[in-house]
This record gives sequence, C-alpha cells and structure tokens, in this order.
Amino acid sequence: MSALTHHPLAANRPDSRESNTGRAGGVAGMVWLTWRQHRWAVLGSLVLTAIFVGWMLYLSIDMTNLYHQCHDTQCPPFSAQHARLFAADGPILQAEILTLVVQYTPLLIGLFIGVPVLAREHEQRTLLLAWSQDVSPVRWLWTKLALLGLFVAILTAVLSAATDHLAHVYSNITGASLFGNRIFPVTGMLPLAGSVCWFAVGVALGAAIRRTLPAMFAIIAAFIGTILGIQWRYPTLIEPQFTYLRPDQPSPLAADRNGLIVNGLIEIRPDAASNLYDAPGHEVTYTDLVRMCPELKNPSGTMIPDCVTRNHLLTYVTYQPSSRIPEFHLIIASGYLALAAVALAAVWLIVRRTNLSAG
Amino acid sequence: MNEQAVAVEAGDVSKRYGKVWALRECSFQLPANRIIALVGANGAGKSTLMSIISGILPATSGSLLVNGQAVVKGGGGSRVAILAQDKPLYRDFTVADMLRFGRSTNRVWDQRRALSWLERFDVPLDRRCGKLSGGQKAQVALAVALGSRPTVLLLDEPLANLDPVARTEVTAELLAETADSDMTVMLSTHIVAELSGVGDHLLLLDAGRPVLTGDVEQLLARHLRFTGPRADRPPVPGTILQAQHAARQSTFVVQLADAAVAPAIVAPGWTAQPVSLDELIVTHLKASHRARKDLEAAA
Repeated sequence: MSALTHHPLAANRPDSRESNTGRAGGVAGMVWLTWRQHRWAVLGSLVLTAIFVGWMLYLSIDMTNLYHQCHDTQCPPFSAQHARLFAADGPILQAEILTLVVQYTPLLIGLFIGVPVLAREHEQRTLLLAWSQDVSPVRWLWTKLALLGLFVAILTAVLSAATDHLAHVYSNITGASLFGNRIFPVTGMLPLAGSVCWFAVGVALGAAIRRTLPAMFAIIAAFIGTILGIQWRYPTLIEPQFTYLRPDQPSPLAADRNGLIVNGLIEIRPDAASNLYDAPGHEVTYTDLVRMCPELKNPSGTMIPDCVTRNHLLTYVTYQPSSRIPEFHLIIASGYLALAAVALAAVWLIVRRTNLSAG
Repeated sequence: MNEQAVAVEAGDVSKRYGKVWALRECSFQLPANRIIALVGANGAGKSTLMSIISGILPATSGSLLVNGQAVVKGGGGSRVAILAQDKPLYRDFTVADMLRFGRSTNRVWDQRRALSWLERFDVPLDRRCGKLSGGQKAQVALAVALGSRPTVLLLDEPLANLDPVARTEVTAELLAETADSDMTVMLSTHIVAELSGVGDHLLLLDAGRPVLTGDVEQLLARHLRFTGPRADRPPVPGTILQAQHAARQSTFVVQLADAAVAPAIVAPGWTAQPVSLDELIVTHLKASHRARKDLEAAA
C-alpha cells in the first residue's frame, strides 16, 4: 500500500505552510459566539422591553397628569378624570395588564434565554462541537452565562425601574396598597432578581433535561409554583405586627395605606365564631356570643356589628406596615438570588459531569 | 516505531458504561505525523476511544498521553480536534459563521486552510448549514477541524456521508494535509474497503480491545497465505490466524514472528501469497471472535 499517495487535486492547491495561522479565540470570540447564537432572543427581548418601558412611561405621565388635575388626590367618581382613568381601555387597565406582564417576565426570560443555552446544544448535538475546541467547557459555560446574565440584569433593571414608577402612580390613583399581592411582586428590585433567578433556573433545567420543550414545561411549572408559594407566604415572612381593635376603631393602616392587613376578619358562621375577644383578651366563642346576643340565633341586618359594639368586643388584627416593604423586597430578592446560585452550581456540576461521545 | 515521535500512547485504558465495558485494557502507541486507521466492527469501541483521546470523555481507568501530555477532560493540553460521526454544525449558522466559530473558539486558527478546503469542494460560504447536503456538512465540519490546526485530528467515520467520488477526493486531500503539516490523523471506519490507500498505520479493535496495531506495510509483510498439501501445520513458524482444509489441500494464514526474515519454504508443494489489507483485517477479527468464544465456552 502506498501510504501517502498525493491526489492531483491536492497537488494544485497552495501550500498550507504559507497559511495565515494566527492566534484567535479569547473573550471577543466568545462574545461573538454568544451574540450569534442568541441574537434573536436578545434582539426580541430588547425590542419588547423598549416597547413596555416606553408604554409604562407614557402611562405614568398620562396618569400623573390626571392625578394632578384631581389635586393630587384620588379622582372623585363620576368626574371626567375618573371616567378616563377607569375607561374600558383606559390607563388603569393598561397599567394592570403591564404589571401582570412584568410579573411573568422572569418566566419568559427563563423560557427563551435560559433554557436554550444548553438544551438546544444537547438537542442539536453541537455541544460536542463547542466543547472539543480550545475553549474549555467550563470557560464556555461561564462566559456565556456571564454575558447573557449581564444582559438580563441590565434589561430587567430598566424594566424594574419603569414598573416601580408606574406602580407608585397606580397606587396613588387607585389607593391600592404597594404591599398588595398585585403590585408588590413587580416593585423594587423583584423583577430584576426574579429574572436573573429564572434565567439561571432555565439554564439548569435545560442542562438537566437536555430537551428544550420538556425543560420549558418544567420551568413553567416551577415558576407558577414559586409565584403561588410567594403569594401565599410573603405576608408573614416577617412576624406581623398586631393590635386589638374595636370594630368602630379605624384600621391600624388608616394612615398607612401601603401597608398590608394580614389577618383581621371576624368570622361568624352557624355554630362558630372566630377572631373575637373580650376586653381582657379572652377569645369569645360562639356560645359566649349567643349568650351575649341571643338574637344571633337568627341573625339579620346589623345584628352582628351591633352585638360586637354593644359588648365592647375586640378583633385581633395582624398587619405589615409599609415601612417594611424594602425589607420584604430584600428577603424575596435574596431568596431569588439564592435559588439562582443553587441553579448555577447545579449547572456547573452537570457540565462537569456531562460526558459526550463522538459516536 | 521507537525511533518515531509518539502521538498517542495508551496504557490499560478502559471505559465502562454502567455494567458494559466499551474499552478494556487498551494499550498501544500510535506514531506522530501519520494517518492511523482505527478499524473495528460496529460497537467495537472506536468512537469511545476517539472521545477519550479528544478529552471529551474520561476513561474509567488507565493512562493516555497525547504528544506526551496527559489528556484532561476539558483541559488545555495537546491540541486535539475531533469530528463526530454525525458532523454536528449549528444549523442556523452560515458556512462563513462556522469558520468564525472556529476562529472564536480556538487559540490557533488558520483561515486560509479552512477556506481552501471549502473552495476545493465548492461549498458556498453564505449558505446556512441546515440547508447543506450531508456531504457539504461533512466538508464544513472538516474545514473547521482543519482550520484549528490540531496536532491530532480524530475523524469518526469521516467518509460515511460522502459519495464515492467525494470519498476519493477527501481521502486524497487528507493525505496531502497530513503530509504538509505536522498533524496526526486518526480516522475510524468499520468499512474495510474504505481504507484502501488511506491509512499507513492500523489499530484494529474488537470488543473494546486492540487486536492488532502497527505500520500497515510491515503488517502486510508479516502476514502470508500458505497453500499446499493437506497438513496440520503450515510450513513456517508463526501464529496461525486461519486454517482451512480440503480433502487434499490446506490453506493457512500465518502471522510471522518477524517480517524482516523472509520465510524459507522448504516443504515441497507449498506456495506463499501476500494477503490484502481487507483479508488481514477480516482474518484477525475472525480469529479474535473465535478466541473470545473459546474463552466464553471455557468460562
């Protein structure tokens, strides 16, 4: 066998020893690769963010003008400003829709930027291509995650600022509390922290599941579960303040409308009563209540409040003052960042343990 | 071989997937600046061995040196490029983008070499990889691999997607690239006929173990087919790889101990013929199968 038989085709080409071999790679190369692979997701999210931020700023200005026209108070019902604000397609409804979109922005980022980072590479078997070059898998991973994570952070920081401003305007106009479960999750740094978190979780799920679509379903389930968990748990992240109130007394948040009443309802059902206390602080049972007010066996009209007032009964109210909002933001943002750190550690472990084969 | 530089040196390299051994105690040395044909049946462990050499797959045990440096998964040791069987490319990248990918992810990049390869095979630079034919995809993957100027280039079934004309051209070009550079090429195949005129060094794998390794010409010189009157043994000393007996005639394929010593056939009526590379490989594989079955039966 002739080991090195040169084919005529090869003989006519330029000598490769004269080729322009040079040093390449580096951070600039990884920046280009990240951009080239994710440019549609990056451009799409940039455009959408610009639209939403512009829309929110426009709404904020429009609503603030109407608020000023109402002398910086809530516009009275039946006023022209009130009618415009609360029209079927008016700024209030638009603001509510936009805040809802912002609440789900972290999920969109996880779905369309986080999950594909590794899942798409696994699906197309391009990890073998990427990881068999001079850039090590770990450097490939961290550079991509750093670049995309930085992009997500900058983008959602702008979005968070615009949403926070809109939420404050909305709260002023509608009287809705900034601690309420509709506004609270989209104020402060939460959209930013949530987006970074769900980006990392998306990458981790993509790495673990290795299929884009199943990883997307997984992140949707995880996101909804987490959102529901936060909504259920956040009012008591810090032990609420409490007070005993007479029903005719003003709420402890009367002068703090951005606070949050955690619990304070008086419940009276057939054969049961709860959250009623006598002056020394003993709980009043249904039997006690019927003894005090025999007419409650067949309640109607104002019998219940009359009974409660007549007997000087108290209700136990727990609440979070608005001064705690920054602390709550910090706690939830820390939770998000801790989850992001766990997700990134998982990604790192998965990548280190991922064994590829050429066959 | 001892006088030549060694590109790959394996010492008892084994790889296990769960309870299945893909490679078992592979020990061999492969010379540098040669084209090494890695041959074996499907499932023999060729892709696993290449993946381990490339550093993308860790061995379960054993040591592996590439150009004298230990292979570390994802490490920056010797520059090894691998082209997988399915030639993965980014589907939405253009061919030009793929070259830029190569430039972006390698410390050394030879744009002219990569471009030259694509020009030779008329691959359009502005076409998306997802729209290329199987053969063109293989050329793009080869261009990226060659452009990174590796010291060892591992090609797993590189000719599988190519038509017969392209196969001839690609093998010729690979030979030329190897001759013009200090690159070692290892290409795997299970189609023995593909090897004709390509590899100058052979590594034959069977069931995860190296069965035969060495310079192709030396190996061919050490193997002869003897035909003569019916006998229990061939007329020269050596390892009998195959023995066939008819009523009056016997045929032996024998691996001689030393090719440098020309066998002197003293027995009357015997003729010696060289074996082809195809025959040599098939004979060794069959002998290996027989030995394995004997071992299993004995166990």
